[in-house]
Formats: sequence, C-alpha cells, structure tokens
Amino acid sequence: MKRILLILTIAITATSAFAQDDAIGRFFGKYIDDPRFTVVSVSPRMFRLMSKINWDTIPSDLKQTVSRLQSFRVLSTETTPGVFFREALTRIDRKEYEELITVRGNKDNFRFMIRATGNTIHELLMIAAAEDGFTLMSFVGDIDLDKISRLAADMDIKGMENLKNAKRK
Amino acid sequence: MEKAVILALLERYWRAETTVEEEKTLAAWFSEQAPGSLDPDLEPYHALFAYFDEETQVTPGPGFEARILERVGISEPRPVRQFQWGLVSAAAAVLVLAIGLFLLTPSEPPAGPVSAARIPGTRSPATGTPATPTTATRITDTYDNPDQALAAVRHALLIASNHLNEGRKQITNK
Repeated sequence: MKRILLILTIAITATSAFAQDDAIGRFFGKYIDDPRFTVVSVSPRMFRLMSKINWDTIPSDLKQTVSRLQSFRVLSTETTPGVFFREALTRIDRKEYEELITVRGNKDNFRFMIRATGNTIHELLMIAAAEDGFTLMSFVGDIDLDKISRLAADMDIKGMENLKNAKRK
Repeated sequence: MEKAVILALLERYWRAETTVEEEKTLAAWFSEQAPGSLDPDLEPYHALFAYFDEETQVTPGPGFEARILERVGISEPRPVRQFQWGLVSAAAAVLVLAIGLFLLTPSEPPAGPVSAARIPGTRSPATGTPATPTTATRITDTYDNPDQALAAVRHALLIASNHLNEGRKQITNK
C-alpha cells in the first residue's frame, strides 16, 4: 500500500510538472507565430529569476500572488476581435476549463475560465473582446482568486486606467 | 561384560539420563541382536527398540491430509493465496502513466515545433533571451530581465483583477 502511494505521488508530481502548458499554447498555439498577433510571455525560468528582485516596495498581496505563479502569457490582436472571441470559446476544452465569470457589455465581452483540481486553481484564463481588440491572458500556477481581485482594490483606479490605456495604444 | 554395560545404560535410560549418543548405542546394540538370543531380562527391550525404529520410518500415506480434512468436515483445502502487492503496484503505476499520458496529449496537434522555432524579438517589445524551451511549457520569454517581467505580470494581474471585480459586481447587482 505504501509503495502504491509512493508511486502515485511520483506519477502525479511528474504529470503536474508536464501539465504546465497553458490554454494559449494548447488551443491557440498556431497563432503564436501569426503576425496579426502580439505575444507577451513570462516563462517559469523568469518567474524563478524574480526572486532576486528587491521586493520591499511591492505590496504583499501582489508579492504573494506573483510568487505562486509559474508562467504568464498574453496573446492579443486588433484583427476581427469578435471572430477570435468566438473561436476561443469553441476551441477551449470545457471538460477542463470551467467558466467562472462572464460579462457581456455593450462594448466588450470577457470571460474568465479556470482550470482546477479540487479547490486548487492551476490556471486562470481571461478571454476578452472589445471593439479594438481580442485578448487571451493566461496565468499558470497556484491561483488565489481572492488575492487577485483584491489587487485592483488596493490600487488607485485612475492609475490603473492609465496603465490600461498605455497598454492599448 | 557387555550385558552389564547395556543394563547400566538401560538403567540410566529409564531415568532419562542418557545422552543422544548413548541412546543410539543402545538402539544399535539391540538391533544387532537376533530376536530370542538375549537373556530373558533383556529380551523385552529388544522388541521395544525395534518398535521405536520401525515407527520412525512411518510416513503419512497418500491422501492423508484429504482424509483428515474429510474427517474434520472441510471438503477441500482452501487455497491460501498471498496477495501480490508487487503486481498490484506495477499495474497501478502503469495505469497512472497511461492516464497521465492520455490527459496530457493535446486534443489537437501541438504547436510545439512551431513555437520552439519561434525567434524571440520578431514580434516582441524586447529582444528576449534565446529561445530556451522549457520541456513542457515552451514559453519563450518576452523580457530579458525580471523587473520588466514583473512589471508586465503586475500590469496584467491588475487588469485581470479589475475585470474580475467588474464581473462580480455585475453578478451581485443582478
């Protein structure tokens, strides 16, 4: 019995090490090289390097959230946002990705999906479409949704809007 | 003379003081004597030792166990099987591996070779480090220093956070 448990543990650790591939890589891999798309990615290696940063000035919620992330990737385009939004919804495997929040606004649609086992969320995926673009954003790691939603509250909303605009320029 | 020795040995034999060697000597001596050739006081022991000797040769005949069990009331000896943990754990390991592989195989052809061959910097803001595909993720870095990477992640987290709150607000308002 002990031996079985040991084997199971090893197997699960091994598989979870393999299962780091995010939704972007798995369902939108072909667009990563598409010139219409912009990709921003931060690899697990870079996340490990972040431990060397001076964290003194970083808010603790952010620090804790980032320290549990393994990888991050954004795929975005300004071409036919609505088409890609629909494509995203059909491509993503619903058996694995559970819909968390859906917002259908006048100008923008977005959905949050999570990949989880039990109470542990391994990936948070945001699919957003507005008039000016389509964005897929994926955070892989040990995700704490409450902490993430607190981040914006901690921050000056105006400052954040500026960031948002700067990003979309 | 010999008779005196044997009698002395017998004496001690009945007092259970003889050694194994001495008992063997006694048995051997009696077996060498022809029946009826002994003194009357030794004669009965000849038969006795012969009997001991015979009895050691007795082994259970064929079907002995079955007969006993039948007598006791159990029709057939139940096979006692040792549970083979080795086999079971091997099977479990194979199963886990199979399930793992099944779950991990992407449902469509993976973009592996393409993204691995991707040249960082072609579409990225920063030049990025040389493509170092980590075994599973194949995520190439956009930024080549952790500060920039953190800033980008922080920015993205804030956007996500903001949208999450927006979504939750809508849900609670409904």
